[in-house]
Amino acid sequence: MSSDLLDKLIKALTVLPGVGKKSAQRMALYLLDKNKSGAREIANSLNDALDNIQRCKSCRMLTTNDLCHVCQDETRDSLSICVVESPSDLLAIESTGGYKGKYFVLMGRLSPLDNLGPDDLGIPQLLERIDKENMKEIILALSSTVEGDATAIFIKDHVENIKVSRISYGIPIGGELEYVDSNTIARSIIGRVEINDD
Amino acid sequence: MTELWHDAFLLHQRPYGNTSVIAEMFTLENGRISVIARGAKKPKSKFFGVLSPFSKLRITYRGRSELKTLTNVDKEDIFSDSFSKLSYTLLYINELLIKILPQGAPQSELFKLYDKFLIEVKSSEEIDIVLRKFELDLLEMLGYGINFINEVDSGQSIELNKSYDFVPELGFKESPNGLFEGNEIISISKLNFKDINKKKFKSLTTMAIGYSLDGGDLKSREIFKTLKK
Repeated sequence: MSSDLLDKLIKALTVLPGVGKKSAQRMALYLLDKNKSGAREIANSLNDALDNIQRCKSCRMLTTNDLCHVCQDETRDSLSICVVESPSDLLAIESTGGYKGKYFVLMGRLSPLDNLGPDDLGIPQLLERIDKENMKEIILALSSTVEGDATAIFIKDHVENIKVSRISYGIPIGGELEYVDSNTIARSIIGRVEINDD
Repeated sequence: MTELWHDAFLLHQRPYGNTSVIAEMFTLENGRISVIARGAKKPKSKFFGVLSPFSKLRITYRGRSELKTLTNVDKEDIFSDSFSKLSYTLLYINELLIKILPQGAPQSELFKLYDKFLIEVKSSEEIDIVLRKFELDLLEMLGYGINFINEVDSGQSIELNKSYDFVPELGFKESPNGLFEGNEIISISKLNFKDINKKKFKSLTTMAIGYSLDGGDLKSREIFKTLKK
């Protein structure tokens, strides 16, 4: 049953995160045996995507054009920019529909131990864009880790005359205080908000 | 067999698979170890939100191979004073520790030093000084201590009014236009850092650490030297 091509396919599938040899074998056998059309579609989509998807020249999001749909959309607020760590963070914010400005995707965060510096994150490109497009607000939607903090401060230190804010941390909606970790509670007390009358 | 609880600090973590992380821990009894925290990224995991650096943790782990399995974590203190300039310093220190500490060799004195450093640096106004002091102590403990007492060639005591250059593998060498004045070297040896030029002091520990890392460079230095302020 085993053949070179089959082995090659199984090995190729193990590049996916969380897929080991056993799962890869199951996937390969399923695709070849039970769902050939699905397999063909995966192969074609992958090829198409690899040939056509690139990073947006303006925000580094993945896109098929030079500019992604958010950067092309002229109805969006072009004076505020939300900085995120990964395309999935951008999609998460987009899915809420609550933000109407532009984005910038760092593809990581400053981390000396992972050998990631400002240039790897496109920070010079971000700063140039903020300057050129005369932006008025930067919203840093970065993770709540030391690396996230360092990235936030690094960006803040490199801009002038612009409002820099960071998304707040706190109790999840529907969450009960008792089950929230103490660090989050401490932060949410620091970042508390006033209740308005209206 | 009941598992032993160990005092530990998290130095670094990297994702492993979809929801797990591999963490570099610095433990009191066993020095630097690598542990895998399975499912740590799931919100319902007992590791979620507790695996954070710069807070003292109590952990249990098991396993005989080099990569241990983390079984429990408890956080002792809360370090929520992030989002400040301190994050640069802390990232630098952890990079330094990871590069300089051998795996699995107990370093309980150094653990205590690191613990003390974290407490001091969180409350200090003069982060630079606390950091330099930690660097000097760290070098001393790892056997790269700087000789502040004698000149390298003659073996004579450092003199107040002479100037010296610092040669990393040796020590201070008398030189007519040396970077360091005798009185500065003597002040440092007496832990009197008040009148020391901060830049010079930093260049001293930078050179000594560079030597201890065998010329290897620290990425955090490269990143943070581009800072404007």
